[in-house]
Amino acid sequence: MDRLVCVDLLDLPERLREHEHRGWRGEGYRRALDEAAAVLRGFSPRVEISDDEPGIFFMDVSGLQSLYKSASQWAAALSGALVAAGHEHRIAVGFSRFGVYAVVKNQPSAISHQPSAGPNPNSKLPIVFRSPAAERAAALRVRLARFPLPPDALEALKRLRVVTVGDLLALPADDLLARYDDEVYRFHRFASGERDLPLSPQRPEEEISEIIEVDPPDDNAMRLLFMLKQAMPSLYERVAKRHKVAAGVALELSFGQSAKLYTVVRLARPSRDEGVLMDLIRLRLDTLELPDLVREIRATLIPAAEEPEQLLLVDRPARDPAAAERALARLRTEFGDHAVVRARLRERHLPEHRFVWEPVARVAPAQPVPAGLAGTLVRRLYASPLEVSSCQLPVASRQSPVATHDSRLQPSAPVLVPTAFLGGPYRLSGGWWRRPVERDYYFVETRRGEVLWVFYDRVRRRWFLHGRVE
Amino acid sequence: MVSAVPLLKDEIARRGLRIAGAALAEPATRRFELAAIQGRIVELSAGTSSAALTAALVLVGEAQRKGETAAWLTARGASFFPPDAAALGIDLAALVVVRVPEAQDVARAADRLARSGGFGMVVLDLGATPATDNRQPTTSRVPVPLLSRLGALAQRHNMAVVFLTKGDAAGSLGSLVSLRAEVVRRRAKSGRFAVSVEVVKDKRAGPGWRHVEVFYGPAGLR
Repeated sequence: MDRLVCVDLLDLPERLREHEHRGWRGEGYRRALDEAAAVLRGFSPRVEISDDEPGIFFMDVSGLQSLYKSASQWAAALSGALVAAGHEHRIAVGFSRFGVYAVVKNQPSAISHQPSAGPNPNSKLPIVFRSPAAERAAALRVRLARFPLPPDALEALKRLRVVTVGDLLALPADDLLARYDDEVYRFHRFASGERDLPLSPQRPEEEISEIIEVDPPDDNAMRLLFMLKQAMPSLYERVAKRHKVAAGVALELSFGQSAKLYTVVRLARPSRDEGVLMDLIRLRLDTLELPDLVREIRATLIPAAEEPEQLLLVDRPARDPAAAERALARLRTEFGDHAVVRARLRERHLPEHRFVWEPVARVAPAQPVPAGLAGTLVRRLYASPLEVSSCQLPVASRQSPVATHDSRLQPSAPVLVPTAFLGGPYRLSGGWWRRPVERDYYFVETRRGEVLWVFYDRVRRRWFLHGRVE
Repeated sequence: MVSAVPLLKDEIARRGLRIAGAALAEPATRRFELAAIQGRIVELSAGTSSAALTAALVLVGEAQRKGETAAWLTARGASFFPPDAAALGIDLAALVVVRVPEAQDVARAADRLARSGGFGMVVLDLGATPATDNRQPTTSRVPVPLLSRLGALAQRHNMAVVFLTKGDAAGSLGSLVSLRAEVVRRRAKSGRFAVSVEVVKDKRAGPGWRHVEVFYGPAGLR
């Protein structure tokens, strides 16, 4: 299974931008990059982080055939782990550095995940090539517009009908250097394989971990906590020797017969304070449902660089953001990492895809837009649209403008009859490349005065309640 | 004394008299704003034609504009529609949303946030469950000792604790609520809606006052 892999984490550049200002990269930048690389290292020890393009990673999967039956199985497992880590991603498994990179850039959709809704059904699976020839053919077909090349050069090449990688490679490299940007020349060399350098994986630091044997086996949270407490001084000492502090701890609880439970507890901010971490571990142990008696605990401290406190020359805010972040860390520990989130808007068509909940660790100062003269009413959106039949909506009359639309419904399903019709149909469609979605949205008012946001799913031929105006 | 209005009205009716001026006939108008709810437990009740969600998000926007940190706590089944909240001027990147598995966990999570003193406003959206799950009254989701603790923390940290509940006075959270308002939405002219926050209980200023604002419907609602 000697294959090269390219992984594109689409959400990462935006996360990294939060830690970058005019070329200066903060500690958070490296940490976000390392966290993403750590997920990938769970599937191959050889991971190269691209310096040129944030979000792009190259991996070598040679020697993993005893663990995975095929490259496809390996890629599917990696994709599952990235989905669980909340990364929107694209994966290509092939033979050459440029080949997999080009194919990844050409993938139209990413594999993503909404914590509440499960994996996105409209997403594509990782692409796995069986032969170098197939990979090369696919790479040559990729349009140049997919790559981060200078727009002027792209425009000039397009006028000459040079639109794909294959078209570009037909041109002599030296002439490109004379006529266009340096970047076009370097891209040509990359695509032709002249810059196909061997993988240069970053070596991860040695883990700071302790193994605690629980003898006799126990499942009492308080006793397990005290065993962990005894191991903490040694872990903190080792992390201090690296001139770092703890950002959290990964716990691996082993029960008999190779059953294991893995959980990670993260601090709001990296800290030397052992007590804060112990408090979060206590909360996590309280919420864990242990299937059996614990026989062994492996505690691995997550190191991070200490963040210097910035001296404030202006007035301090009345609220302590560090206290707020500690409270959020406690909630994450108690309810899971996806419990504390913020909404990020996206340019999509379907309402449930127009935003994504992303985990949040820091409390950012707000920059709201000044309020206008008149705002708009807000809709409540249901995570999963409810079938109208289960919503106690008023039933049936053929005079309704909505009901006439719905002649092919099953006889058993109730038909929607609003007392007032407030807007629609507004057709939204998407996912045509995989599983088509076609919905007609309406605003309707019930006789109780509720304004509901319903849609008719033209593919499934059913009515759903997606939200209400509140 | 605005709180005496209902009693006076009853007395006037009992004696067969008429009210000479308009002062007692119309509820007083006041601004329903952050300053009026800081340090208090506030309950916004939603009937069927309500706009409590909008009213609460308007307060969140005001809190953000005043430099306060706001958090929104809700069950996972439903939430406000973030593009609509952004249209109200809210900075979504700075609005912490806590999504807990069950509605019963909302108040417990709010307690954790309130203890920190790091938040200026906490909204507990108890009306978030989908329509099929309306059997359980909202009151049962907030134990009285927890509500009492939240009240004390709100006062100590000058924090607004806003509950969004469903139903009428019978389904209210009870006597520990400092201000209770019903948010009513009425259709106005030209595709607009008048949202009226009608205060039915106010331990500071007395009940009977209201605040009215005009809103447009979301895109497509006419």
